[in-house]
Amino acid sequence: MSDPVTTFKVSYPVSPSAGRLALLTMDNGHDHTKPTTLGVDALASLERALDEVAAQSDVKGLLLTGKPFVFAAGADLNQFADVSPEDARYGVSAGHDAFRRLASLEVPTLAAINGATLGGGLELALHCDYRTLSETAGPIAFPEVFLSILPGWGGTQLAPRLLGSRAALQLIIHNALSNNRMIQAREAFDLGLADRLLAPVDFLEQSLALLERLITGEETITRPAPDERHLDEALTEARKVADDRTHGATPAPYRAIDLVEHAARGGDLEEGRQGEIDAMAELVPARQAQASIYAFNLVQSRVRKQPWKPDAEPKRLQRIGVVGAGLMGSQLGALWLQRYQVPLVMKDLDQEVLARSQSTIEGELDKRVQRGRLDAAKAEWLKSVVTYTVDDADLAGCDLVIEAVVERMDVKKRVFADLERVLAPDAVLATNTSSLSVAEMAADLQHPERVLGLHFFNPVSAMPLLEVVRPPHVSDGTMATGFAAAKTLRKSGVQVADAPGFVVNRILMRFMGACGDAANRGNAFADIDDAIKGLGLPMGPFELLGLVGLEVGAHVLRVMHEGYPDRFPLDANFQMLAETGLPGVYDWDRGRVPYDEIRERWQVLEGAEPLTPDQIRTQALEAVADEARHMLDEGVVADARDIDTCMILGAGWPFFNGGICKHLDQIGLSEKLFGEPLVGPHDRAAG
Amino acid sequence: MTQLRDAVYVDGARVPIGRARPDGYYANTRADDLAVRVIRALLDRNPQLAPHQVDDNVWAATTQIGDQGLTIGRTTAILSGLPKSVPGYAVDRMCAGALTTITNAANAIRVGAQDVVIAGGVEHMGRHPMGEQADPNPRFLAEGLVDGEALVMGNTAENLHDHLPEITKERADAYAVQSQERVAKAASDGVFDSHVVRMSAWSDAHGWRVVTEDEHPRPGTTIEDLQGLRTPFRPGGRVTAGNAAGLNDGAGAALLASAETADELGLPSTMRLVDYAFVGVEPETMGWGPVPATEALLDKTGLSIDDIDVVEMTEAFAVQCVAFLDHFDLPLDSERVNPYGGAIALGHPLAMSGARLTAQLAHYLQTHPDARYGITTLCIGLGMGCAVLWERR
Repeated sequence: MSDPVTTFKVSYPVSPSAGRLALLTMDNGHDHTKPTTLGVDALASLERALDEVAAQSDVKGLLLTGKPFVFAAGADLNQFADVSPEDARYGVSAGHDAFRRLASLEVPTLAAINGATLGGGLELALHCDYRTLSETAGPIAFPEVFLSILPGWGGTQLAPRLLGSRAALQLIIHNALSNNRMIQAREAFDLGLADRLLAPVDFLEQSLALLERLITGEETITRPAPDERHLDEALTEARKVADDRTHGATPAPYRAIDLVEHAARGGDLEEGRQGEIDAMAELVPARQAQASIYAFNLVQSRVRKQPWKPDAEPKRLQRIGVVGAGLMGSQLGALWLQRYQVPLVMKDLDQEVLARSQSTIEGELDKRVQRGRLDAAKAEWLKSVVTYTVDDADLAGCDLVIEAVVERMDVKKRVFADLERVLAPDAVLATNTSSLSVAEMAADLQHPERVLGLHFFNPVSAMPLLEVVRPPHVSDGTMATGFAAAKTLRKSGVQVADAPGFVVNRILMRFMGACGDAANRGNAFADIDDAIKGLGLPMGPFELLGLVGLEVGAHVLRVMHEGYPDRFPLDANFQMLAETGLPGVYDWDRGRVPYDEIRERWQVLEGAEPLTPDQIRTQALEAVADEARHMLDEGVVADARDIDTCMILGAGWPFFNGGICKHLDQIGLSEKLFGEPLVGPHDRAAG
Repeated sequence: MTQLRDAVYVDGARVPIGRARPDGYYANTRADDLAVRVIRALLDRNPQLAPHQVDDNVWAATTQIGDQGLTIGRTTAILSGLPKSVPGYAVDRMCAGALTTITNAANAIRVGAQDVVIAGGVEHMGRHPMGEQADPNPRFLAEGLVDGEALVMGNTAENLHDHLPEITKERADAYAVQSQERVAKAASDGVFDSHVVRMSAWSDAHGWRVVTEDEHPRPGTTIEDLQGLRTPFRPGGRVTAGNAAGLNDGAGAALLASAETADELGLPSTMRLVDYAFVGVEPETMGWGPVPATEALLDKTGLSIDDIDVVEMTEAFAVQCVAFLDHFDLPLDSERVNPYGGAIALGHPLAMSGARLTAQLAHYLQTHPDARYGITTLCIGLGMGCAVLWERR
């Protein structure tokens, strides 16, 4: 499925001072909700527009801009899906040809950047002689490396020439690898992307006036040559960031850095362009980019449409309760309060815990005020509508209560039973359990249909995933309320069945088990972590364990073991870790070195041989593939895409692996193990 | 009576007038955006004036719904980037909308309540056809308060012909041709360049376009062209699309200030508002309005028509203008009335027109050093007329 075709529409305003001008508008015939993208037809349209302009000798200058609120959102990604190297080369070359023509027009050209400007759109602007930027234009970014390709329409060559290598690498590498960070107009202007920053209200008129003054010579723009005295440091830093973030698992950032280096060292522009074409011909068809396009469609399109949401009216939430005001409960309280802006009741058994919770929640609000995200007076009002209480009766009138008490079934069942006594029969009960059975929690209630799981990830404010757990007896209205809450809380809600560990923890624990096995065979923790990071994962299993906490890890493993004793054996070493009371495996004060106690108490299997890094990876991937297969057969998720969405958004697993199932398919492991891919054939396009 | 201060005209601007058609300039442009463009231009052209020094932003529109609703003086103040401390309000007196904002603003200045005010009018007749969502009280007709024809402006023009049989269709057409000729000449002389600002306008076919000239004029129109036109309001009638103003989109405004503030800030001040008159007439012949309004104004100020160097009058219908000329014994081709032509050629975006007349009057005074007094005058729906007297400063 391709995007709507963008055309370059031309009009010819006549300026009293500068003469006849060409005004090019990029438009795809839709409003800003369908941003303008540049596919092969758009490039042909640009060529035609430039033919028309060049044929008119009285045209004195050219202004290029976008439809309202959008400049251009880059290449049409869908056209990159499943392309051959030849087609990739053709498409990238076509862009260079058209953009080069724009750059070689004899008259002055000005890009009036009026809105969203991504990737190819930014490269197009860089091919103009001058740029103006509307103060509210954005987002602006080179997202290519995030997608395991690179800015291949001149971006790696022109950005360093204009901005210097440091700023170019900031955009092309650092921002792209920081979860695709995008910038707004002010920052873009400060980086040097535009010559003038103008008010949006009469942006086009003022941009045109600038072009006129540039044509008549009334005004000139000169830019200082970029300072490249610290080029080597900038390159080293960028390569280090690429290593830290991708561990060499995708070639794109390294190719991009090489090309930026070529430009920054004064390399020939045409050679640089050719380098981009060669790189893209390799990168676009490669598995990393193909997986990225797949992943992009999952998180940008599919999950936003909430395909799981039942056709029922969600409950309107006007009073919300949280039971269990510990760290997790307080984070939940702060989030629901900020997003719903309705009265909130925080309930706990312990006054001291409540006092800490109050300072956490109020601190969160204050932070938002400091960042200018929340009006100070509104923040004070929000503080005033929170009740901190030890009394269940104060929860009366809540439309939804979420529990975040200790992960024990008996405690959670008692909490729900108590809640049912004070709440209306249709109030929604949610549990934030990470692994326990939601159905069992609801089993003794009068209204089990009102219970669902809303599994948030830590830290709550930063992690985008919400596992929306569907127990067997839940009502459609309750599930609709869950998905509506996901939207209001700005989380990506994915429906999962009520099975131990749901998706993310289940995959992670199985993965962890395979890695633990390597440790049991005598591999060092750090060697295992390094082997796993070679897959491009953000951290290794033992590094992750420190973040999760050894006790929590052991607890989740116990729950998984109860559900699936064969595949989740109770590893004595893991139970030992929990007993140590240590914060993690590594004593970071000494570097990535295990605590002595752990090293001494870890039991290595007698007669076992350590594995090679390749064997570790294969063993881990096979375990994950097996578990994914079980999850699909069991119906934990309807579709392997949901596993991938969860792993990307809940565990930070990389785009270039497409989560994990896509990767298992790409490397042929699914075929080898199951005789077919995990991801179905319907998953080619946005879906 | 306390001494009033002088309210002076500092500057005026308008966007090119478009045709209210699906293929017109502004078919895809909002009315409030037209007004905002004018405000921005006034601020841009008068950099001595800091935006926070604007005390009020007064805008008129006849149909105050949708993009012309929500108190368009306030919406456009915010949209144009005026500081939030600058208030605004909305006015409606149909075709005299902008002229009423100007007299209101001038009064606030004259009594010393405010120092600097933007006063304008906007009408996007493409988005808001005349009478959109109007709901006339049935008593109007049931009790014979007004004739049914009073609500259809073309009928009131036919009625005016009935009352003034000496104004034949031939004289009306001759006047209309003269309006086209005068507008064409004024355009080539650059008269409109003094206050018409260009406007970027979206078009689905062309993307962004930059509009620089009025869309409505038909230069080269001849008597013969007009003779063949239909008389849509009455079979065998006299009023045609050729001797009436069109249906148009546009926005225009004046920047007014107290004389003291203008001098202090170094703002130009072409003319001062001397006095004005609004009168009511029979709604069935609303085009008569400028005559009694001008008579009332002359009477109040002790001047005679001979003292008036130039009159800028809206041309809703040629018959209305010829009636005015006849009443004051002026020839049809008097150089003192609409020397740059008028709405028959340029178009008449209802509430906007008063701003255009005022800007053209200012241009006349600027370019005719011997001229001292000028009048801007309009006829108004439901039977009213207005006239404003300006004096060179």
